[in-house]
Amino acid sequence: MAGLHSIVARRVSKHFRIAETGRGVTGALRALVSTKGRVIRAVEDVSFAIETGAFVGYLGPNGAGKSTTVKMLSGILHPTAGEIEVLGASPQRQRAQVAQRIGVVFGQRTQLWWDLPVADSYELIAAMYGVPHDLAQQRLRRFDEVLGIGAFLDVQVRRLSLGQRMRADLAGALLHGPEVLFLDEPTIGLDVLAKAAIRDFLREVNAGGVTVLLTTHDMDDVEQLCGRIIIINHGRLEFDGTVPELRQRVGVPTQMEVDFLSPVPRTLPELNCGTVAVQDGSRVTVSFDRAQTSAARIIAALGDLGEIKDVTISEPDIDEIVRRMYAGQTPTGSR
Amino acid sequence: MKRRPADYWRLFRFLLRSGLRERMQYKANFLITTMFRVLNVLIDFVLLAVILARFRVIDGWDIVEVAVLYGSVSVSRGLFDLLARELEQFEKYLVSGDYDGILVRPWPTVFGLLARKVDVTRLGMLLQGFAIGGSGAIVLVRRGSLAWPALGYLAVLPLCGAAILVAVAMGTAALGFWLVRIDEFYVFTMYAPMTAAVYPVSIYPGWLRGLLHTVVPMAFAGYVPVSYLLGKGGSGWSLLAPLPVAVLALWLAHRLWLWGERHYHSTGT
Repeated sequence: MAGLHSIVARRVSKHFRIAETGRGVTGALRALVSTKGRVIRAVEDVSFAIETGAFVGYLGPNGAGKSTTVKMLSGILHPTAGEIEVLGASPQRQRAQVAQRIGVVFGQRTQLWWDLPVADSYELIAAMYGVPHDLAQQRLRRFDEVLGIGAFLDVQVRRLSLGQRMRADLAGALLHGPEVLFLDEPTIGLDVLAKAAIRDFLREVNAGGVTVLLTTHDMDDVEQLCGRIIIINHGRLEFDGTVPELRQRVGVPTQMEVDFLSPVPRTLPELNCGTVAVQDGSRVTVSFDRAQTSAARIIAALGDLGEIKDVTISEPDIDEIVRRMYAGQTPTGSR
Repeated sequence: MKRRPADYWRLFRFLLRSGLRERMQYKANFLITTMFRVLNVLIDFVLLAVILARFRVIDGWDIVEVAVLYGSVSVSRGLFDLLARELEQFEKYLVSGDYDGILVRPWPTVFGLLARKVDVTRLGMLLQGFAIGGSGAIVLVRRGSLAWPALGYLAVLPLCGAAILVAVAMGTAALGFWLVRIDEFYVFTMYAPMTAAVYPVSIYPGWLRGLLHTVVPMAFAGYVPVSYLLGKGGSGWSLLAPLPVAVLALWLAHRLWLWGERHYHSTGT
């Protein structure tokens, strides 16, 4: 039974006990019997339900508990407390059954066989998941059209570039036609073109009905792909909603750098409320909220200062957004 | 999800083929490694032979009889190395977090781990063990101290021996779910008992004999049944014992494994 929700987390927590582990047998044994050690609350009382077919961004700064959550959802880690359901089953108690129907990609680590050519890894995966040969070939042809994996099918996985490896891993995770896809930082370290190719592919996969949960640091990933975002920080759920809702709540500041041909006067024209402009020689840096004003209006206002040479706009990253979420409120709770 | 033995076998054959292909990527390396492995085993046996030549008999066992013991333990070890080597490399999976990749596959995790690498260079050791044990057994049959049907028994005994080794390695590896650093543990649970089991277990002090019959039941991979076959004591039960011992050891080790898995930490990113 697929149900309305493909992924459900109910009051899920994961605590790690970190013991001082010495080297060698005695050190290890001492660590085993020792009751000392710190408890790290990596994930604390997190609940959410993700509808079938949704594309959800799971965000948070480094060490917030993103990967730990994904690892619990995909059956790698057992939660300390709480219940998880993926496609109506427990990824822990019915691990193999759930694994057959989900795909997992870790940006940092390949799931393919390091020393084998990519094509051999796919053959192995097809054998593992019981994908008939014809169906596997048909899917690989489709992946080739979007991801261009055909160019390196006979190359050993360890010889692939990061971008190629990521594409190869994505195809590998989707070869068995999973209904849910977990992606942990799939665009990390990739160049702009590779990121774009992967985003196009993910959009297509999602359009085909696959539920996707994506962790990322990349605000562009979020803007372009995710209909809904969940933010956690210090292991706790901080936000669950859409990107516009997040904007409304924290007023995500967009940064714009405007370079003029010659230095501009120190006194800058009046801009909309909430917009801050700083002048430094021939460059003006503007922080503004897209919900309140547009880049075009700011450029128009600044145009009086001189001839504009170049404009660069950058969206804030997740860390900045979370920092902003906290800026307005006093920190509560204890760690 | 129920998997039939045929499913395992089909996937396993496939893995064996890719393991071979992976090895063949470096043909020279493959040949040299295989050669050294064979040489290693030879040197092992030469050392044993030197000791035996010096003392003639060890606790009532002469060189031919020890060869049978040696053969059955070596073949067990060879089978283990061929199929289950990754259980001995488990620390690597824990430290790197590569075990994550095994947990997300729709197969039992122990099988998934073993399937990561099938090391065909270990075939050498297997054949060598067969050669030494087999020729020893044939000499004993000629001498009249071993009955013909015993050869058939000795040929399948290493299956139990390998299963016992798998169980011990699995139990040791399972400790890694709590301790992570476990490479040194194998010295005590695997290498030392295997070396010990090549000699008649009766030469060891009581505590060590006890360990080899219980915690690390390597005595059942050779000494216990072979003693009875050669008329050095024991009862008919000695011939049957290796099977239930292997099954029980595997079951216990697997329980520990599944329990440990709940404590798997993975690694941070």
